[in-house]
Amino acid sequence: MHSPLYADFVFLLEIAMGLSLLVGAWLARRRMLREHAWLQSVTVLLNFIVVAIVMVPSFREQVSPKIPAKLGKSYVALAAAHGALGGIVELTALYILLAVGTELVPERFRIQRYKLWMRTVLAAWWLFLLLGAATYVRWYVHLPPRH
Amino acid sequence: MIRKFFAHYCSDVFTASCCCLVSCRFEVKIDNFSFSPTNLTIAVGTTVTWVNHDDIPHSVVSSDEPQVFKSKALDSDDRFSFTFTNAGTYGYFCSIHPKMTGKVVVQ
Repeated sequence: MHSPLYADFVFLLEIAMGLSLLVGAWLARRRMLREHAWLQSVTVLLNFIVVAIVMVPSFREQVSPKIPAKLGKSYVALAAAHGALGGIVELTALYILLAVGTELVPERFRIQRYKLWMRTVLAAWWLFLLLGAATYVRWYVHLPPRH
Repeated sequence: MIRKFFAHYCSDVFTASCCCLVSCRFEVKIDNFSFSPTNLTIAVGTTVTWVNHDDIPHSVVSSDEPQVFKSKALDSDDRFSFTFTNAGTYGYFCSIHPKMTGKVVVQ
């Protein structure tokens, strides 16, 4: 393994957050809606902080200068897909928090079928997490050359 | 005479690929997540070029404070050169993979 400590830490933290969202979904099924709201909100906000402090600066320094010229390289393509999907998922999750948990969003922009939105975001979050794992492996794990 | 001196000197001291006429240039390969050679001893005024042969980006960053040299992220076959004008020992590492380290001793 050749990863820096911060990358290991963020990777483990992202896995923990993915699991935490699953626990949150389970709480909703058990009708523990208050606990569900707290857990999902904390997870989404914590992820926002990690994205803003660690992922965006790293992406801007190491990946975005190579787009679009080197999108054909797997390490750029994976990181770009992870970044794009991650951005959409995080913004959608924040929107759900605001729309469902606060009165800040105007009535006509509120979510009606919120369960569908939440389940879609949860599925997309896990896809984002798997892309993140693939990106981590591609950037930091020395794989033997294929013959 | 000069060529003979450098040829002898280089074969004794250096393990990197070397082209010695008036000034020396050395190449450090970045391959399999390591710098090769890891330790390099050169003369003052020598230019060292790092070449990334891996299929993943690497960088070359001085570990001294303040930083003596710092490359951008080098893609496959990208190069970074630095001329050492002062004697000393210069440690360096890859900022993307910090366990990759190397050292240049300038005499």
